[in-house]
Amino acid sequence: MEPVKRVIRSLSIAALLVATAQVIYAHHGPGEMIAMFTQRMEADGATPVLLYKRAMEWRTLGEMDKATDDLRKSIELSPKFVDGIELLAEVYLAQGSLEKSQEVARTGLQVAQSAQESAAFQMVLARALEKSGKSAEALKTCNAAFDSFPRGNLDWYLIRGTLQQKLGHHAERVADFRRGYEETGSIVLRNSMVDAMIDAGRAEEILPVIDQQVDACRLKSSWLLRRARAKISLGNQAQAVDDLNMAVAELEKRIHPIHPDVTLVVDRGLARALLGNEEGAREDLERARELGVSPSMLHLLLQELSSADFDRKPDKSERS
Amino acid sequence: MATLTPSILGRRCITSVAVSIHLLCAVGQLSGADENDKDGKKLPSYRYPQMPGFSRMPYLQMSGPESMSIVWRTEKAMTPVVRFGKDLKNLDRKCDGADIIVKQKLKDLMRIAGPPPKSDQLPLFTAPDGTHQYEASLKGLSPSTRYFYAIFDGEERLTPEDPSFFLETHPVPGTDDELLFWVVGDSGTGEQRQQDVHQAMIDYVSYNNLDLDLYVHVGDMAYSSGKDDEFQEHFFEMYEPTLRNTACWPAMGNHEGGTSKGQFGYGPYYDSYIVPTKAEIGGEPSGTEAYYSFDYAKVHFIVLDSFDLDRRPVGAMAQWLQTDLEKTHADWIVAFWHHPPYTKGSHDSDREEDLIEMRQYIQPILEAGGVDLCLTGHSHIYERSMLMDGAYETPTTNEDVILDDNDGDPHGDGPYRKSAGLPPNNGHIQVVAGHGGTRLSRKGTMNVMKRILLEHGSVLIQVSGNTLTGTMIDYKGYERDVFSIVKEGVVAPIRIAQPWERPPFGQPELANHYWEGGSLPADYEEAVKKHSEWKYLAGAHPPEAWAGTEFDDSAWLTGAAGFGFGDRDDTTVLGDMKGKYTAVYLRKEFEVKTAQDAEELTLAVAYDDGFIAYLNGVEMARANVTSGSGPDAVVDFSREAQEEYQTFSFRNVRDSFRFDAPNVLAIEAHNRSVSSDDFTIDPFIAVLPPKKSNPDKLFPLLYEYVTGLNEKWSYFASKQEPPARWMDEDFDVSKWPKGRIGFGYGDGDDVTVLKDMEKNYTRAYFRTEFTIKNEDDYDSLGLAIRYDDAFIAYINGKEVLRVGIDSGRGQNAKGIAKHDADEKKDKYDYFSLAHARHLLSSDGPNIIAIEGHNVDLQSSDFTIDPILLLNRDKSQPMPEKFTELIPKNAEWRYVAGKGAAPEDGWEKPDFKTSDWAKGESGFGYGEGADARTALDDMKENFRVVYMRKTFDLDDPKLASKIGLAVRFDDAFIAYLNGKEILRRNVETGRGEKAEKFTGKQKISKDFEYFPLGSQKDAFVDGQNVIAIEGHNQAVTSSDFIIDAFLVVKDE
Repeated sequence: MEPVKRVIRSLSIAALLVATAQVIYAHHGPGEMIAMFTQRMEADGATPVLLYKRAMEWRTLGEMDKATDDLRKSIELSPKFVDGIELLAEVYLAQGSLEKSQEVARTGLQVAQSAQESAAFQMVLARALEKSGKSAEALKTCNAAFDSFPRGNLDWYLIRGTLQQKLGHHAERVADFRRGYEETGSIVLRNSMVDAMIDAGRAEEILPVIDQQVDACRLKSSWLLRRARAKISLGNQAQAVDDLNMAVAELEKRIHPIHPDVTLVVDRGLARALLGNEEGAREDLERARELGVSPSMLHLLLQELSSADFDRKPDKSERS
Repeated sequence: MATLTPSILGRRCITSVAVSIHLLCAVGQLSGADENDKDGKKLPSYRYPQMPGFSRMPYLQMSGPESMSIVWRTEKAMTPVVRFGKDLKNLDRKCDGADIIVKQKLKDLMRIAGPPPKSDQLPLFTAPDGTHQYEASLKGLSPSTRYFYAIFDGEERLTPEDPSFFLETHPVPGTDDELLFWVVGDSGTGEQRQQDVHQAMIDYVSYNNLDLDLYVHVGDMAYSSGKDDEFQEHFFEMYEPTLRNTACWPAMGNHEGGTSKGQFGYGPYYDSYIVPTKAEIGGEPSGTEAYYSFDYAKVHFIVLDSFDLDRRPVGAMAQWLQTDLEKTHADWIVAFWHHPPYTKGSHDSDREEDLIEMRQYIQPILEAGGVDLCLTGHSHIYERSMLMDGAYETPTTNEDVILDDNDGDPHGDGPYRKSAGLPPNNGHIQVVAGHGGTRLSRKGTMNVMKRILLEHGSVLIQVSGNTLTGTMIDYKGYERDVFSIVKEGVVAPIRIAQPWERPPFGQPELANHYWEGGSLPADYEEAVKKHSEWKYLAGAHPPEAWAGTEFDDSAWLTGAAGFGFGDRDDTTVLGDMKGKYTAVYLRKEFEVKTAQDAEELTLAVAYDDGFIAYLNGVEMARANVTSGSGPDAVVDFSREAQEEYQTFSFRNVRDSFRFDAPNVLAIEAHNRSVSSDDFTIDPFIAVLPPKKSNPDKLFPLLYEYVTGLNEKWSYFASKQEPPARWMDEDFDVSKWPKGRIGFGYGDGDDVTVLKDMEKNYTRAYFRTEFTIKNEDDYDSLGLAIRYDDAFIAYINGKEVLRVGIDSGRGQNAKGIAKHDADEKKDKYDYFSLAHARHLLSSDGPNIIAIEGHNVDLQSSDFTIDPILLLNRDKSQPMPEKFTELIPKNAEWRYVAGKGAAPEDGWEKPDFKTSDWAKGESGFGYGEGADARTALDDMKENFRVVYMRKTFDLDDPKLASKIGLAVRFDDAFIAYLNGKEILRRNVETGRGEKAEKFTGKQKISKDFEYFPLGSQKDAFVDGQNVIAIEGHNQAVTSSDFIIDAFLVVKDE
């Protein structure tokens, strides 16, 4: 019956939105929308939906304090307004107000009307916990979210996988990504499963898949990097050098001279680290940080740099 | 598969209502005056009613090379059957049973218990009670094939026997088939203007004999919140005739996001569409309908959800995008989504987080993956960028991110150019197409944009071979913007420090007219003289059709241009204008004899504040009049007339010229306010000199022009014959007319049209002068020509080439074979003229003369379109005497090894090669290679070898006599002081990315000789660097050699 409740709630919100239909129809940017919502509220009084809609526009403009003000008022008017509570938890999370985000997410859990809604609040909570440094609790909350709503969504799988990687739960990580891949067919979950298998010491098992991807891909660097990691984990460090050099060569051509794609910079940093080029790897680490990289993307690079005994690295022959 | 004759670049515009009516009869019928919808409400005249039995008419989804889905809805259960076949009268195949998924309204979900259903078993989220949605999956179809179909309820046929109920499968991915797709955004109002935009596309496509292959919607297709009934009324009933035979590929907009959720894939949006999640039509499996990819021929499409998913690189969507880009081997990448990364329309991409995130997070991934075109909406405007790359800053800056700041118009500044293939960061175009129906607005000027138009419309994109062309069609059917990207050879991106920029928003600019005005060049002539007399009407508005040719203006006053008051520069002073009226109407008749003459005309105007111009009743230009016309014209800004005239091309109305009767240029000029202190309208028609074309654009790497692409040749085209020795050097052609190549009639692509040739005469004669400065070039001279049907070429009076003619010349020519010129303007046949070297002179002008023949008088077309070229791809025999500048078997620096490609810039003089290996030339392996430096590990490991050598040139005069001697297998590219000077057997790319190998070379002991005289300017006094990359076609090749030395030819 859960989805039905969700639908009924959505339909009721839709009905509320009818009142603002004409306004939305003339949608002309957040500034105008905010002015219109404000005018409506001044004329007819504030409603949870109008406050919620205005908060969305404030968020679009990066005005997070104003967004939280409106959302708090919205929830005061309608304490079980799930969309409002969820958005407030997200806004607090984006602001770095982690305690508040957790508190609001827990409130949401109390009023959630479906398993999907509960799971969504659990995932916001998990992300807030992770940012608070409580990875184990965050993972537990993630798992609870999947228990509530097994289908989940693709981003949830990745969030859980990041926590499992951080905590060294490699076997579970492999199993969960495999399950996700089988259920959704998502290539991202397949790739994550490959990464997890390398971390789990199952490189030999996955090497044929990696070889196949190296052959098939137009842009090969990410798969060359995976193959190098797999070979290193199998003790074939010398064989990894060629792959790493080729990966670096391709990345050099793809990395924009002024405004690079941060994912490529991180990949090059990892390849350089694996080649023993600590200086180059640290340069890429700094560049990635300047570009605002998400910390979870740096896990392997930081791991490699912190554990690095560069004298034992396979080769220093990367051409600079 | 698109049918592309005539070309989309035909620049037709629709002016005939009859065309629209005809089309509607053919493909669907708009609601009549008394039509009611299913609830008994009167149906607006611009919506298409549903046929009996359907609550949603059949529409196509998930089109692929061998499969297609057909979806429809009914109000109650039925026995669904789709019959289909290649013959409308014989639908011999059937889809039924388990091949048709049935979805029902959500209330039936209450019966469902247990785990959540799989996505393909999901019920409808919302729909009227009793609604059944049928999704028929037709499989086992043939690629590039049209099938007709009909929907049956058991044995009862529901759709009529109508040829518009068809589906056409995609070509096999990777094939050369052309593609035409329609791009619409922010359209779902369900109002008249939305239908106008749709109808304009239908009319345009029909008028130009095109076939639409795909329909792309960039979001906001069902205002105001994407509810089921809004989808029905604002999307399905608005586009029904297109949807029944053209699959729509959607991206979710924020308004659909009001009721549909990308994270979980439910809601009316997801009910309505079936898109790939498992890479069914190419690409990589996304596992979600929120974002996906698919292939059509050589184009890879990527569709993103910019509204309600994580846009960061850690998110699943960005990771999928990376993987998808890594995998595709298409020639083109087109990406589309809703929220524009660059806009100042109704939204501001420098202020709004979702837009900023698409720019900061998604664009770098796309551009590093080689994207060519990004299509978006959300902002209610049409904006189109210059060729750009790497603009991720907030606020957006245009410095060093624009790679070409011209207009990209193939008939204007010329197309944008990119390297062949999908090189990273080689530039792309952004199009904001949020002008599909809803109210328009503009906040400012986005500085990367070349075109900004506040008019409703849509965009047609054509991909044909190495060219992508976008055309914005407004709601009236006019072409308002055209741009092209040509991908050929290697184009190194050059970042423009201070690119062209529009005036800031709010200041007067040449906005909102069809073709950007420019300044007059110094060497123009006047077709309608400055200050000539015009008919004019001041102080009143004329009746409708006042701008047409039939209008009687005899009662109007006559006055000399310019007209106005207040600034003391007016010839005809309108002393009563201030305080009384704001509009003045002008008419002027003028004559044009040929289409060729018309091509060179331009309207020149000095104006204050704005105007609209018409040619024979068709609007051709509009400046500073943002909307409306006549008494309804809106002028947004005050503008002072400049001393210089602004020019406006007649290009978009070229089909409206009359050559056998006078033309009428009509202008309505407007002051912004009745209280304005001045007013000016001062028009004339100028004749511009022909525009110089960049010769690199057609033959970029291997050829060098001798005669120009747009050069004028003398010609003789008549029932009469020219004197017998018309081809001789001393023949006087001063009385022959001149026209730009190519000549011809009948196929719509001729520059100089020979109007009277058809049925009157079969031959025409052409000639021009050319010079060759260097004798070394004699051996590489060739003729590139498009011809229909046959020709004979002469150099300096001697026949040098005969194609399609058995014997005789002129009227005595016999045995003429039929031959069609390639439809593509850039497809030439190439004939070497090296055998004519003895006829050439480097001292003075040479004459090339060509007689073109049609097979008979009844022939429907004729083409002669010649260019003389130097072919740099051809070698010559070694000179008899030479001095070695770099000796044979000299020691070179080289790089050879698996994964050992040098860094970019390795060919440049200042590149450090101290860590490169040294070895004697040649480098290679295998039988017969005779390599001084053996590369025994090359086979199976790598296929490119890089070599460099410095040498001194003390006497710069020797530069013209230097040549390169090379033994090679299979291909090579040579650079002199960092500049590419020579390539053989490889068409595009460099280093590891070189591709399109044109011939396998056999190892020989003999050197081929390439004179470098034409590159003499690339040599410098003192130290020079020659760099060569030698290529094997395949890593498995049994042999390889690259061996070179440099010589100075002795006299």
